[in-house]
Amino acid sequence: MSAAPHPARIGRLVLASEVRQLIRDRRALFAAVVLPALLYPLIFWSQGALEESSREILEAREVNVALDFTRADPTVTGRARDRLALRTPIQLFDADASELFALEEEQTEGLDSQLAAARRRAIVQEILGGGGHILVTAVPHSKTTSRTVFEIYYDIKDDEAREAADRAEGALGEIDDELTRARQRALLGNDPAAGLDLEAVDMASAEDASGAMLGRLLPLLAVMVLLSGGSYAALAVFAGEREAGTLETLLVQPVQGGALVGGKFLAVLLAGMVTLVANLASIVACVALGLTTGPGLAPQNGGLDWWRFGAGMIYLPGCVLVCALLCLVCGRARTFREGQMTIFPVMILTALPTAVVLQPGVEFTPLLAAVPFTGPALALRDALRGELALHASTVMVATHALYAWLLLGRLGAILDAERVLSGTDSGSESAQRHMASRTAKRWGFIAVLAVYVIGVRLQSWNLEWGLTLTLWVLMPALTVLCARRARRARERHAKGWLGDLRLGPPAPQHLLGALLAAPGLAWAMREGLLPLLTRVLPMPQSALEGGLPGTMEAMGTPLLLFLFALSPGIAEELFFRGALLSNLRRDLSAGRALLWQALFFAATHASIYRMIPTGVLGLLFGVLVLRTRCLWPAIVLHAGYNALLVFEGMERLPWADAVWWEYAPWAAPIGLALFLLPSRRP
Amino acid sequence: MQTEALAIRAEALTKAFEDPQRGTVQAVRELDMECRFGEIYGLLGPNGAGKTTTLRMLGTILAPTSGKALVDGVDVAADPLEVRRRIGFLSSSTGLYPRLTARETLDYFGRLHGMDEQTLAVRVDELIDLFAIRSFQDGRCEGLSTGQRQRVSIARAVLHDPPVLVLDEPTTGLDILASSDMIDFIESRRTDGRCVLFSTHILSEAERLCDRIGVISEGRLLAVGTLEELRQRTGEHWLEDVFKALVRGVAPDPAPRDVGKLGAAP
Repeated sequence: MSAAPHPARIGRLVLASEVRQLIRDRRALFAAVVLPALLYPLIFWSQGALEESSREILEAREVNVALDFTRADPTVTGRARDRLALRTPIQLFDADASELFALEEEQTEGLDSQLAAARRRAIVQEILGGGGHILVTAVPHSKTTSRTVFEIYYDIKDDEAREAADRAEGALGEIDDELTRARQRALLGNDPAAGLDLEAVDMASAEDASGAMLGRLLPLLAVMVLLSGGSYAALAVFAGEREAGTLETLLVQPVQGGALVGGKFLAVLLAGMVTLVANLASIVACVALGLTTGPGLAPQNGGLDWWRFGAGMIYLPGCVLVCALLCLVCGRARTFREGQMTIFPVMILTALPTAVVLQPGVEFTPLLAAVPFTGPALALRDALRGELALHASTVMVATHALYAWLLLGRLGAILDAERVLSGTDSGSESAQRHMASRTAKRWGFIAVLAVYVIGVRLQSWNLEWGLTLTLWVLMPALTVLCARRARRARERHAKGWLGDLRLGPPAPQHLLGALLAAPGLAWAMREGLLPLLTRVLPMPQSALEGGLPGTMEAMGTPLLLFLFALSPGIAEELFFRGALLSNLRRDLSAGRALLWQALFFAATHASIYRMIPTGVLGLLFGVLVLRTRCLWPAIVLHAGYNALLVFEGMERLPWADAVWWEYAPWAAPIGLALFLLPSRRP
Repeated sequence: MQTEALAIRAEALTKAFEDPQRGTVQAVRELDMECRFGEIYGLLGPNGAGKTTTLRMLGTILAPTSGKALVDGVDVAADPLEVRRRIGFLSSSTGLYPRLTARETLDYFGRLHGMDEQTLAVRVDELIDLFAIRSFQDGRCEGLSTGQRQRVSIARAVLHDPPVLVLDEPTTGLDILASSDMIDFIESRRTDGRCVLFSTHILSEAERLCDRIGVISEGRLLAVGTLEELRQRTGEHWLEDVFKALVRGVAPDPAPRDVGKLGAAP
């Protein structure tokens, strides 16, 4: 028997073995790592080459231009004719456009514009029928002035017509400039531009400008490239191994799970980083070879100095987190295919927070630094600009290291042999598992769709009746259907579904707690969450101004409270916390069930700006229901909170000047503390 | 016989799975068993009887819900890593890395066991000769035939020369020659004074190899003994009939205690 090797040595062995196998999978390696890197030169080059060649081809092509200058000042049209003739190869010929002029006159007398356009098209087509690409006409601007109006008729779908129009525009533009200058000189004397001089001077260095440009581009690019290279490795190292049974073989070896996870994670990270470096090198090579034409990337703009690429290392925590997330989802997958299907959600999950860098004016604050994927993206942006904030970066590195650590810890638990095997043991049964939660999720989707399609339409037809119908007919119907179906999925007969709604009598202390917590919740939303959100995702001004719409103003307090506080409180709690949450909770962990129902709850509110506040509220109400095992406190809190919002919107707070408002934050903890008291029931 | 000399000892070993559809599934119920060194022990049972679950608990891949299992005196729950050092585990679902060669596979797992390079090289050569792997040692595992792959798998399982070998249906999917090689190998372990515990539903294998047979059905060990003892107990001659008599006859009866002497052990 030999001595137990150190975990670090095991990790190294696993890493080496995984890397060796990854490299041997030539096709996947090529598709995930090499191909994207080859794509840049190809795209840049072909884009540039295509533009160049098509320009050359068109410039060499002869264009035929039909002219009708009969009605305008011959001195101007003569010059125009000369200038046009210089834009060789070009053929000018005279045409008769009198029909067109007649149409213009008719139109000023009130011909339908659509009809006129159709007739104009027909006339021009007829004139150009003899082989012309474009028609240029000249008419006096009006009877009193000598200005001439040139009109170019062309078809944008035709390459030659576009080219001819460009040439005509260029030629006529030259004359325009000359005429303007001559006129200015005649009117103002020798130096017409003596008014003031204006010159814009860019204070940013060329590197800064390139950096700013890259800073917006690189974070998203990095995430996508990491996902490409990392997912190929993560799929092979986790999902593929599980499918091939080698994970089970590994798990009967005397090695610690942590060492296995560490080695495999490093292999994924390495694959991701290699892909990233290959892609960056490819871009740099494209810039160096002058294949790029875009602003900031062209070499004459200064390109990037090397230390800035060094500063790009600040994105490393982002890379680590992306790879850890990939490892986790692929570690959960039982088969390669199942793993592949999870990659797309991961892509959205990582790309959305990263896309914040595209939003102008988002600052790299310590708070945003802690947001997964947003923090590293902003840090990279600022690093490339050459203005990285130190303490925000520290927060970002620390939080992301923590997130990655947590994800890998979770992965370690998942790679526990029991889970590896439970999938293979009863693969056919797994389809039947989670029936109640699946049914609940399905009904959650149906509810979101129903509210979008039916509810919104009803409310735009008539706000009062629409809301009443949505909340008192649609939602209760969904509640009953969801509860019955989920129950039946579990037990084959639908009796007793009403009990799932948790409508039993509440404990008085919990009701009191809900009443006390409502103002506190309103206060926390108003003072805490909403200002925070507006910094990241500012609400459009139109949504903030004006309080309640006119129709609502006219309703009067009792009706408003009924429609916007009492009814949503009851109907939404019945569906989301009653039917949905309790059935989700049957198969899912509390955390997951809460997240799902909060997601549906937020989605039903159909506004990206209200997504996070409603999601948070949904979580809170859900926790409340799970804690008290009763729906009533949540109904009271929900209705109470909504009522306060209604009063606030009307600027008719019943306790004007709101002394109670100052007590609201203090009432909340008392209310929440009351929820900690046990209920009478076990 | 001293207790320490037991290769495997299980006491009231139980495994329950949670299944939302069927509720709690009792895969293994209060199973008591013992295997000695120098013995080949066959676990015989129909599909779904709990053979694989039992072996996986002994191989530390599954954690027992309750009960206790010792392998070579080491508690499975308390020190799984030490147990893994003392067993070689092979099941139909333990795969080989498709993109490693046979030799690389053996090298890799030997290193994971912490063998030093010199010992490892000698041992791998020895195994390559023993299992006639030499002709395909540098071929990737994905290209090997089922029989060749099985030979590499066994070599992998006994690489660290474990005193206890746990094999889950080792001949499933093998052709006649390959499975006879496998049977020869299992037999050779007995003379080395080691313990082999294997599961099967092929009666001829059990008949030929096993010193003792345990019959398992619906998670319960119905009977244990030599073939002769089982014949006497059921009054049948052919193992097939013995097996049928045991599975049909004793099913409702909870845990027969013909291994009850174990209960008195410390």
